[in-house]
Amino acid sequence: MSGTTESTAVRITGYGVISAAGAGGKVLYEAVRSGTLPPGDGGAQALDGQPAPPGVRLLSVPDFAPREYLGRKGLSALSRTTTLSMVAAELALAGLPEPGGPEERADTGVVLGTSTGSARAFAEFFRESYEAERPYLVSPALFPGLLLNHGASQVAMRHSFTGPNASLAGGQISALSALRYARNALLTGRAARLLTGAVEELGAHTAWAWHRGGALGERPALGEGSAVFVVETAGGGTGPAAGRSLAELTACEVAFSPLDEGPDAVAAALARCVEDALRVGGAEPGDIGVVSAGASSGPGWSAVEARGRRRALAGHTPEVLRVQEVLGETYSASGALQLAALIAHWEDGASRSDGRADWGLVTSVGHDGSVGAALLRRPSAAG
Amino acid sequence: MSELAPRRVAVTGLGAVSSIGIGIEAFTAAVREGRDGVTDIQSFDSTGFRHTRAGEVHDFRPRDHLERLPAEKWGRSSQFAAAAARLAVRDAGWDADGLSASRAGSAMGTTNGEARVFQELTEQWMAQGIDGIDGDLAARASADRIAAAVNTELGLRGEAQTFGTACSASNYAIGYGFDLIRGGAADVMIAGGADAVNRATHAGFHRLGAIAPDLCRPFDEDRGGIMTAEGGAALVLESWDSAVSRGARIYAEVLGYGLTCDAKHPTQPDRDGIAECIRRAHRDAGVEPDEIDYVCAHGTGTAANDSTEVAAVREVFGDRIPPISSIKSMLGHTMGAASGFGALACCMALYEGFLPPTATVRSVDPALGPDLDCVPGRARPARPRIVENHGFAFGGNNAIVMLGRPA
Amino acid sequence: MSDNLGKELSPELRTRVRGIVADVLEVSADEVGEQHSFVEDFDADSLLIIEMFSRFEKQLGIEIPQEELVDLDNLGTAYELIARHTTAVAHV
Repeated sequence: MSGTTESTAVRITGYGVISAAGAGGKVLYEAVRSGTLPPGDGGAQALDGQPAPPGVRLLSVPDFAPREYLGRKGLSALSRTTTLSMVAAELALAGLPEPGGPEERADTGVVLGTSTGSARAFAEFFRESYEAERPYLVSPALFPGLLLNHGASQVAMRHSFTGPNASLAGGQISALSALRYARNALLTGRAARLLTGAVEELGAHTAWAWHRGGALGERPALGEGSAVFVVETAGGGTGPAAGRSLAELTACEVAFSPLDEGPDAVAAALARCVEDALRVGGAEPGDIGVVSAGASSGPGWSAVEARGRRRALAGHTPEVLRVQEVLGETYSASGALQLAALIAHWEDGASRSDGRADWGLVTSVGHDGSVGAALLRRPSAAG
Repeated sequence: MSELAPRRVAVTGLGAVSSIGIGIEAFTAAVREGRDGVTDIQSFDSTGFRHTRAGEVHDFRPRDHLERLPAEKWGRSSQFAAAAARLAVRDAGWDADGLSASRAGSAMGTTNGEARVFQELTEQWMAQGIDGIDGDLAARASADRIAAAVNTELGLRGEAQTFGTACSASNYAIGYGFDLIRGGAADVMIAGGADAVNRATHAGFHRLGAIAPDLCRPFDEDRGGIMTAEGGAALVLESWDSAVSRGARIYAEVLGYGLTCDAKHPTQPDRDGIAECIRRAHRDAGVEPDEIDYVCAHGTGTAANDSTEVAAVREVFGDRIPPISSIKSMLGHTMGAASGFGALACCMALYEGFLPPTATVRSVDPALGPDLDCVPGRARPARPRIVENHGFAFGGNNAIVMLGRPA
Repeated sequence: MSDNLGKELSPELRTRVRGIVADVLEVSADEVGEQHSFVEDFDADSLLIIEMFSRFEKQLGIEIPQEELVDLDNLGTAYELIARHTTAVAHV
């Protein structure tokens, strides 16, 4: 069942995204292209009455109303983290040409990246235990929402997806961790189709944590959102989206460099990831037309990422989508939002006229020494 | 990336930081004797709780074990993970430079991530307001630091993946490490899990009526529920060729694994989902039910788990079900580390030749059906050849790992 | 215990119990009738049932023993349960 397969390509057949730009890839790319977001509420809804840290721009999903996508029932015990990921999954499924049949649910799974689950839900549950008349008089319905796997399991429950269900914590590279895991699960035959992506919730607890941690850089901005991708093996010709592909995920590599070896070692580790991804995917540095950059916030991190990329791309200078400059630090969701922006960018424009393949790169650097790179190929050019 | 022939995966090192012992020798000795590690809670003020015992690791001094990780900058779960990994790597006989230079990474599982950091942050929030939280502490709250701690401690340059798939997370991690080595993407993977006892987890299970008053008694007629617990478990997984060329001791072979998601209920286990997970694990490992000599149960000690798990096992195994025991009778429920400890017990059972006990069972619940051999009391000498390690979780995240005696 | 079973809850308390139930089921109070099954008619699962118990305890200031955390599926049973334990509290 899980024997290795000769094909190493995985198709992305649908995606859903929600961010400070609103719902969908089109508005996301428009925001990245223009460098401007639609007017928001300054994070008021996400803060929910808690004070905002001074000087930090809070770029929350505007007028986030999960019930518009998920119906009105069963939402009260779900955190913003969970509903953001559920909405992104819903949008991804809605974008497929036809829904998957019941017989496919056993081979359909969910793989999401999140570093803490809902930090707010976790902190508030602790608080309830301290403040309740007795320490165990906490809300049982909220208890499963403390876990990192709550979002992925809720997506699975909603659609009866009984295939592999995984949640990965990877800080800034969470989405690439999830994509890599999903790619492996498909290529080893453990699933036929996966919904994979990542999520981050903006809230007072995380905002203050970032502010007090001092890791947000000179123009501090925090964002949130989720992007979820429907991924399938390239050979799968009978699925709901047979023949259709938004992009091929040709490689996804992640690595680590212990921080005590310094930032240059982190840049070198990223360069190694990019080189490995190019080798696995069969591309050359000069093939890369566009990079969707993480440029993780904080003094020096974006320089580390740029240096690692430069080293691997050997003098080639592709177009760079600067997603974080528009959406703010979206932490666990960042890689997924970068990939969504890359796909939306390809959807927006014409493919290359010279018949050569369009290749794109998503890069990410975490604050703990984690690095990752995903290599994508545009399908029209891929044939 | 993929090689034509899948590679075999050996377990060459074991590390335990547990309430019943630190280091694989102490851990194994306690398991064989059926000794439990349950004591009165010290991790938080348990005043007002009806049930106030847990499986805490009291004598854990990170600096006794860590060589490189500055413990004071990391949360307790990360410390458990890094210490267990260091112990496992020493046990495997890897020298630091050799491991660091090889294609090695880590995959670690957790249920609550750095819950103790959240506990402390919440106390600061309540005492000083939300603007009064400590930034350095907050920077330790992310669960991904658990695998990052392992890579930092060991100087690993491969991936550092933290699985947040709750109480089956170690089995996910072992399965992922197995896939990477088997397919040739890595040569060595440190796999396991870590969690820390904390107030929120205790309160949540308490509220569900799922916490036992004195001891965790899986399969017992008068079981009281789970015992919240903590610790770190780590296994060194390594390609067979690498292990043989190093002349390493091989405890066990990872034969395969299976994953399913119940997709039904946020907290309740599901017989069909578990039965299908067992079948997938068998298929992946290329084994039949009558070849399995022992099942290391998820065995939490709640009525719902015991009855569902045994029913699922009966569904797959039919009339002859193998001996099935729960080491949670000794450790309590170590959450994300639980199936990692299960894997440690399985490897030692295969290597030394015994069946781990359900130490605390007094009278087996007749509702579980006839002929249930849950190895009561102390370990039993045996020569298991193929064993099955169960891990189930909230969210219906089922993961089962198959291990075999090296041959 | 049989004494308490016959005991009627006051209309005010019934309204509060119905309100708590409706809140957990995420419907309006007038949608929950005494003939309804929480599980069959409102898709409640066991976690939501425990959530109801939890809110009865918190909001009505009563304590329900752990072993009774089962078999709550309609308003009638809820009223009986509350009556049993409010009475007990009143006599303490």
